[in-house]
Amino acid sequence: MIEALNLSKSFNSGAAVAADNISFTCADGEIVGFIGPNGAGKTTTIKMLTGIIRPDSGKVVINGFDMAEKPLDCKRIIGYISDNPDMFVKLTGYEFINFMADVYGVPENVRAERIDYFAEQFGMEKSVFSQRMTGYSHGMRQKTMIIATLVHDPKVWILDEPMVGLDPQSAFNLKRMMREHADKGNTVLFSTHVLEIAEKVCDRIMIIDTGKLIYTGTMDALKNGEEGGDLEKIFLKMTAEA
Amino acid sequence: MEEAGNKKRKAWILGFTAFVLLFVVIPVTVMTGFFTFILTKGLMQTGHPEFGIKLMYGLISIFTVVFGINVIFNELYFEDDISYLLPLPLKPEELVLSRFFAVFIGENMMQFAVVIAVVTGFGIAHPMNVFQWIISLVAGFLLPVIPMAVIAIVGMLLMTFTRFIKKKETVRRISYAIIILILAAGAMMLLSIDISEIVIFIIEGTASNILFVKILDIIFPQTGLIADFMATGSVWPVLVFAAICLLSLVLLSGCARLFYMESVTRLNETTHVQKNASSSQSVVFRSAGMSLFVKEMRVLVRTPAFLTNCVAANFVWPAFVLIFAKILRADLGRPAVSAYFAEQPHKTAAMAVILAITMVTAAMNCLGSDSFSREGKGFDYIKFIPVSYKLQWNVKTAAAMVWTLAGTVPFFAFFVIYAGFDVLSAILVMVMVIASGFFVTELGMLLDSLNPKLFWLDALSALRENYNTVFCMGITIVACGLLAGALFLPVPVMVTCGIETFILCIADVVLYLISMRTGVRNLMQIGE
Repeated sequence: MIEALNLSKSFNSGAAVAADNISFTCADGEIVGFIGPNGAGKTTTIKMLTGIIRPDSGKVVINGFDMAEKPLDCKRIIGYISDNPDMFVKLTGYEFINFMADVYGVPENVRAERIDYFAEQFGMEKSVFSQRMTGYSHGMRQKTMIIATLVHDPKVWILDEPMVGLDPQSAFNLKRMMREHADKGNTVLFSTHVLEIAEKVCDRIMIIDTGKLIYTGTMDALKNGEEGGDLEKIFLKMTAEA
Repeated sequence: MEEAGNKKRKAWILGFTAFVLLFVVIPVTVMTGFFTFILTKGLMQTGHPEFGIKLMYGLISIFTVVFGINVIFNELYFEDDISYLLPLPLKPEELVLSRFFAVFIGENMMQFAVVIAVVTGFGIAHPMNVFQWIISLVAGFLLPVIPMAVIAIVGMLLMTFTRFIKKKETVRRISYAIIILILAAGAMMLLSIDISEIVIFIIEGTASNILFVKILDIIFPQTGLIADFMATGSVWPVLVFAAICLLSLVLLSGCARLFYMESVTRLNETTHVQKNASSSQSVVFRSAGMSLFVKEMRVLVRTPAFLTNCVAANFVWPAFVLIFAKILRADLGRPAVSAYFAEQPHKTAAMAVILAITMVTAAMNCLGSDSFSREGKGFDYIKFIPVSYKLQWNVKTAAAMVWTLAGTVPFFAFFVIYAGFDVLSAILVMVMVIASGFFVTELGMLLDSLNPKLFWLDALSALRENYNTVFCMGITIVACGLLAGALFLPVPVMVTCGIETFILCIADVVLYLISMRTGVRNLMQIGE
């Protein structure tokens, strides 16, 4: 479970408010979509949830652990996929995955099985992992990052635009994995710009604009509340009004 | 509280900048100017005051070429933004010239302070009129134009008419090979120098017969032209210089129009991933700390800019020491060396040099002062992985110390044994080396944690434009000056060395404790 309690964050001595008193809960067994225009505060909020930046005020609690008080316990539970897959490109795929697995303490036999599984899901030949990531395409780096993030089977998935660069089959498989993970009683929070993905996959969505959470609830409730039920129009109307 | 933290950080940065300006940049500039003054005064007695300027400008031009090859190729062909610029309706010469001048200004920022010092030193020793002063400064500013234009033109021709330079890695390897060749050629020439003969050449006005000078005249004719103008005030050399500059830029523009688009669009930067390559690696289990250490070492060794500037830089100084000894025609046999360093003044000088080499090498290798900047846009991982900041900090220190000590301890250990130091002195020297190397490394890391440079397009710019390295070097030079200077006090050198080693060890402990508290806090605040 993810609990965000009254999170606020501003930059440039308060001139730029990225998050304004945001509160929400992502329960176990849920896939929650995080949607918003560019610069709305999605990535800042996600960074606060993952411990990359500290909120000016408020609290983050992950499965009962307070990020401020027990950051390492929180981080062990989280699997975070960044919106930037260009990390450690001088390493081979195996070296990067092993590095992340070492950091999270994944036993050798377990990680070998998981690498095999994920490689198959994403259509990657394992021989590719022996080469340095400088030679990978964006999509391959994204897939490798996903594998490295999920190799320790985290309870909580926090994914920042995970579908970018994935081919349709891999994107489909990732969505299926998200559903399976949530159905086991775990939590998935992901941000996306693609409303159709949010519509198909999410149990609930949160819409953020200019640092404020302007909607949190189910898709059906959102669509039923508005005439026509077109998600795109609803979203554009809501973010224009905010 | 956040605002107070940011203000404090800005105050520290301003303070360090002022410190480096006052205690490093200005003194080094003044010293360079003073050296030029003394050199010119001496050469005036031979009737050839311009010889010193010619040599100094020649050396500056050599450095321009050595460091400029990689920079120019990178700027014209391998920067990430080029793929965004090519589709735009820009003329190729517009693109090339604008990027050329960007590199020119960047390179000049570093060397113009030296040029000012050189011109000032010469102008005070050999009075010049106002016109000469102004033109000398302008000419000094334009000094890199011709060598850089030549590099750019040759580069464009190579990229257009050859097939082997299609990747950044190839350019780097070629530039490193050229650097090694130049250094080797320079070393060989220096080894063949007889200083007394050079003095005769200068007095007789036949200095151009010296091989090194002959090569300089051919490759860098502008150095002789500017030097002649400064010495004689004759306007013809400077006009010729201006004409050559203009011609080189016109040629560059012409080459760009004819060849640039063809060469840049033929690049093949996206490496082909072999689908059926053998899977030679698999899972390997390590502790989190060891895994971080291995990752750190791999990135250092596999990133060419880090490999040369951070790793290999530690192993260059022995060659210079050997060359210096050879020039002085020193007897390097063991009996002679032992007898030489048995004398107190020589032993003192040796220890001062050991201290200076250790500290300056540790500052120059940027392993400490770039430790967090090297992460670049991947820095966030430091914050979201479940590894304590303290452990991550210590791993980076360990990785930095491995290379710093590898470049000093074996050589100095050999030296103290070869030179016949007694056991106690030898141990003291080695402890001093380790303590001083740690001090500089940890200081660099602390500075980098304050304001790391995380946004860079390529690894080289992470190092070159990082002021944390400048700050670290500044503080190191001052500390080194004080420590090395204190060795010359009228006290037995081993007593002074012992006291200094003790002080360094205490300083290391204090610095480490500060790092674990303030440094770690700085890391937590990055990005906020």
